[in-house]
Amino acid sequence: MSLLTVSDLRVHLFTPRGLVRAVDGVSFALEAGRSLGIVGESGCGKTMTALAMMRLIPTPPAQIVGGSILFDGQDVVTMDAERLRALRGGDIAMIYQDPMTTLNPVLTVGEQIAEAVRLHRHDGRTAAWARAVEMLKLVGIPDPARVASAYPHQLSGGMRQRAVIAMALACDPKLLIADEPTTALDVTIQAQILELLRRLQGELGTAIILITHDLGVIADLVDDVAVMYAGKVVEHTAVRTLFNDPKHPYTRGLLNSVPSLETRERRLRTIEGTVPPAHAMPAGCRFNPRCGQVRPECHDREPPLVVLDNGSRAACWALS
Amino acid sequence: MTAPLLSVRDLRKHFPITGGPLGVRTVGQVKAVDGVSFDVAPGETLALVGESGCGKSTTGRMLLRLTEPTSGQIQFDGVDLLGLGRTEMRLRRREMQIVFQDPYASLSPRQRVEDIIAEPLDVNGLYDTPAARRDRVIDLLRLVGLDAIHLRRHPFEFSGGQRQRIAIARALAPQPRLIVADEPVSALDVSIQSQVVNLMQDLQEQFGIAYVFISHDLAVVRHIAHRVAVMYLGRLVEMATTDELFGAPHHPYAQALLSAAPVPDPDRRRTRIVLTGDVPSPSKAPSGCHFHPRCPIAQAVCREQAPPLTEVSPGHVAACHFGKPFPIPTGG
Amino acid sequence: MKYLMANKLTAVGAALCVLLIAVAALSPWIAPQDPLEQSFLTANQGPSEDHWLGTDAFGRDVLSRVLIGSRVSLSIGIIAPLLSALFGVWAGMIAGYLGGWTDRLLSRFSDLLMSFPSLLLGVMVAAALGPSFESAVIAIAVALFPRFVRLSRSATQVLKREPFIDASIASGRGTVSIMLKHVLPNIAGPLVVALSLWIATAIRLEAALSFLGLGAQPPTPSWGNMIRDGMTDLVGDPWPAAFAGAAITLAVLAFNMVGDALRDMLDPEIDT
Repeated sequence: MSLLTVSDLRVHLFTPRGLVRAVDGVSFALEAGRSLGIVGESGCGKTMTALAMMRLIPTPPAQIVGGSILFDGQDVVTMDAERLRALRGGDIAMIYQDPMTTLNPVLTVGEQIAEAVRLHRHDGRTAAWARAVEMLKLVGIPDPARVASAYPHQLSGGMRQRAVIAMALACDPKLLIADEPTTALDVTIQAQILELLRRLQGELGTAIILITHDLGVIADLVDDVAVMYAGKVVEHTAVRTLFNDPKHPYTRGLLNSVPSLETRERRLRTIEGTVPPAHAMPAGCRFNPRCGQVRPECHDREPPLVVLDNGSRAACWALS
Repeated sequence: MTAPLLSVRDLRKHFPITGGPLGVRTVGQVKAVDGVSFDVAPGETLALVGESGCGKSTTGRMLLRLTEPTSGQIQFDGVDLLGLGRTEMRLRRREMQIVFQDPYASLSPRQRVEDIIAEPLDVNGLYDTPAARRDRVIDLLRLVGLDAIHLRRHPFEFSGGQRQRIAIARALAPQPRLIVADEPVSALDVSIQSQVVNLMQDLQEQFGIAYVFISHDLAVVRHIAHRVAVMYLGRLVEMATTDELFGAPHHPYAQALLSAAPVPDPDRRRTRIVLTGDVPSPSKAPSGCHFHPRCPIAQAVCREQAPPLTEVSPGHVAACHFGKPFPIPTGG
Repeated sequence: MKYLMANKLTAVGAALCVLLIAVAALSPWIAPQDPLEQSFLTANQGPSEDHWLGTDAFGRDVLSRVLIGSRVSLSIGIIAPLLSALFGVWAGMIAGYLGGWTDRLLSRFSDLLMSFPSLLLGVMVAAALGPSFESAVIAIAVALFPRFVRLSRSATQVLKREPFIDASIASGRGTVSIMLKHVLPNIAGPLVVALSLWIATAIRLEAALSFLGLGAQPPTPSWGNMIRDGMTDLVGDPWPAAFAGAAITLAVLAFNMVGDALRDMLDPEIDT
């Protein structure tokens, strides 16, 4: 049995301008110890999907209106409040783009980690503090005993994100959800954090869901990738297959638009047009106004995710 | 090389750190930009790259005197900009424009697109009749891939990419010879990013505009820039043509920066230089070579003396005590 | 406008404000009797068929006096904040935009004014100028001045850092022109809200000044001096003071409602 099985997840946003299907029938599974990247551009529903895993979506305006999220055999969507509290920060932990939003500015880093440990592992004060220092050491913070007594603002951006990772992993979660964990960091610091996440995953065997818009970060860290466009998964495959043999026209367009470090082309290739406004999605395949391989059926029916001959799953009429 | 359009010499910006009981006493200085020199030829793109706090944005702002330099020289088309009075500087400004990172904040939310784009025309009296003004704005909209139907709309009705096109149209309006672009595509989605980069290149070809392109995204820089200057904590550490810099980076920081950039290729995972330590705050810049605490090849001399920019090959300068590129151990 | 009316409370508040202003403007024609006509025969009466709101100690019709009195109260209540805004907003924008010594000087001055309670400041100014309609206007304008300075200064400081201001400087626009073209329109929202809330404040201040005899002078009726006159025999004839007080409450409430509602729809994205 998979650690996490998401089936036909639907999250709707009820806005003054109308209904927005932010997540519209997303399904995927994640085995224990594996990593999945969810990649897509702004507004594609990747963050909503991630928040739904812990039922953290802002209600209102958003609401889970359908589907199930089986974590360890239990459905997060219907879970009672007490079990949900144990799940959040216990079995599933989350790190965000901006570490300052996760850390309480008036508590020391060590206090915050120890607090989480006491809450979920019922350790005593001394044990919890020791665990905090141990975790800070694990994430590569030099002089962890001193940093444990420091306040968040006394740390640099990179150190803060390490502390947040330490806090997230302190209770031995089975799943870590990382939402753009390196986007706010400088390139050289980003490289450090990615290296750290990779090492920790190897050492601790935590499953990871990585949410990002950056294909470079995806290539760096995960085993599998789900590409989202306008609330739907359009392609789901192993990371190497995605980069070597992308199938969906959107995936191919996305990969093509990234300028290469190696070579210099005269013009960058682009995906024409923009994502349609959320309340004015086209019928059929949502990518059809921007797609170069559009067929008549693309305007009528939504393509289902089907398994292709290279093992990928993609939702495109031109492929099936 | 032809005579440079822009010539910057020993440009500095030192911000005072105030302290004391009244908060008015100067207790120190942040050397945000500390002696930067470079030239930009007409129609050329020079990229300024580096991480946060390296002074690249401050440098860009000083070129237009949006931030007043502490010292140094900026010659634009042979005229010393820092010697100009307020009125003269204002007249010069139409030849140098700026595009900002955040397309949401760089357009006034209360104005219509027509008035936003026409602002430089209005201010400089660059048209005779209202009809001429409108025609010019429509031309500009078409140049950036928008349409006359957008004239009467407000910025919030546009997506990020479209707003950045509007900002570019505004910058183009007074027919500038130089545009400072401060992270112009960083806030945009990948597929939109490439559209805007293409647009900027097309405009350069068409009008011969020079760009000072400020960015932390090396892949974009690789694509758009003719030459690249790498900054670290207020100083230039390396400058060369784009091919030269990406092909044979000299300074250890430039090497590390290039190697740290995430590449969309899962097979390249474990071959990069991972620097230890953080970028220090510019208020606590290390002695000697600013990079020495993080440098994998630092020696005693690096702690004491700041290395000067020296030519390592024609047109390629670097500021490192070691005369040749050093093999740096890769991580992983 | 559609959104303005969507909110019932706003609609009620706005309707009340319009009604109050209309009544004040038309009061000479709709007042049933001459508000100055005295009659000892009908003094100190309660509401009746002839005098709907009763009469005061001089036998004057309270309804007519409340109606005519609204002219003084509302015109001071509206003119004084506008006058104050005219100077205060500019001072605040200049302080916020230029910063440095200009800012320190202007801010210290407005802090100094702010350190007095508005009423005390109003009383001091009105007493110094001698009681009259004009001095009440000036007194209230001075009392509100530091509030406008503070508000527009802080809004300007935030706005100054926006890139579109830099873009405008880069296009060659001068400082004064930037303040008019970019700063003022973008801080106008909070200022309009404040203006309507402070009109309510000004109406209260006017009443207080008149009550202290520092506003419009008798026999011209204003709500404040009606309360003052009524106070002399509050037990025997509470009607003049009660209805003048009710009028003040109504006006303050109406302008506050509009102000609160405006605050909720500051976002330019909604108002198209």
